[in-house]
Amino acid sequence: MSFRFIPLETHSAAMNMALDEACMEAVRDGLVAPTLRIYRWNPSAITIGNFQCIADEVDSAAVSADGIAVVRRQTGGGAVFHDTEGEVTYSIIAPEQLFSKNIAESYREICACILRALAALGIAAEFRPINDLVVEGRKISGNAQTRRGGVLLQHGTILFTVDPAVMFRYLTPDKSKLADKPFIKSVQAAVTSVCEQREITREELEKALTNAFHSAFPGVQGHWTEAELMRAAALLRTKYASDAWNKMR
Amino acid sequence: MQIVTYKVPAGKLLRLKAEVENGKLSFVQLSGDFFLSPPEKLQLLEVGLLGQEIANTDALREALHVIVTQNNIVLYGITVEAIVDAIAQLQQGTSSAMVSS
Repeated sequence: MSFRFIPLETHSAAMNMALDEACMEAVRDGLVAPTLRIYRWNPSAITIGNFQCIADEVDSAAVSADGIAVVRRQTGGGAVFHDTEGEVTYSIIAPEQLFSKNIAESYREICACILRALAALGIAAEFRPINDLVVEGRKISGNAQTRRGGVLLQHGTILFTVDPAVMFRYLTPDKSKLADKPFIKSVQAAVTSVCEQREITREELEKALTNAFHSAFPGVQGHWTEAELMRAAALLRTKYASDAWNKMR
Repeated sequence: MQIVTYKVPAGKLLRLKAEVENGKLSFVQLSGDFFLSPPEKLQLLEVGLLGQEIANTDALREALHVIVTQNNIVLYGITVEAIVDAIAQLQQGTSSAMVSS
């Protein structure tokens, strides 16, 4: 099955999440091909997992002071600070029968593309169940998946640069997340980035990711349909920019 | 309100917020960085726990298994056993507890 590849775009957090959901619906309804997209976030923002409590994960005073948007994802997983300059994100949206029914295996299948991209850049990362890629135990990529209406959505970030002081100014992860990682002394030390591993440009990272995804999921470059853009605009307004959704928990 | 933060062994983080009246759950909120499909079914687990005796772990386990099975809920990074274990922390009367294994 040929994929539609939507090259690098930059949107707000709410729009990025709205586009993912609009695309899921379009794939579900057979209106568009399975889709791969690569994107960035502007302005910098936070997303939290579908099942997280916003008050538990985010320093509300810090995000209010700096005007940082906090958007709830439709996927599970943890809170993420998406720095405009600091990361590259992908989404893959496709019929779930293209992937293993086993969730762990499907994470591995898709994350293998990121591992190949990082390897092409000279970075030896490995998959750390449940949903992370790590370099010597430190997280360089987080991934999250949901399935709905027979469609799988997996999105994930690859850290290009990271400033833990900024990231953890806004995020307040529970220290018990390190309970099974005794070699990591702090949440700040638990992350690394492409730039910390190798001197490369973000364009090189984006190209390596694109190539790795293309080789695993062949397809052609495409664009959003008018219907997807209209649906995304509606979802942005009614869901991803709304307190009813973002502050649901 | 009691809060239990539970790191699921080889899994994700589960945070249980609960109120207990006469040994029974009168409020339950499950949150964390786990995965659950379909997402809207999380509420069924929370509602299904209301009125359950926190000391009766067998009944808690059975109630959760029935909800999971009947609604085709897929849990990932969290288990029924983890939820039962977290509720067991309430039984100990702690206002905040963490179990790491």
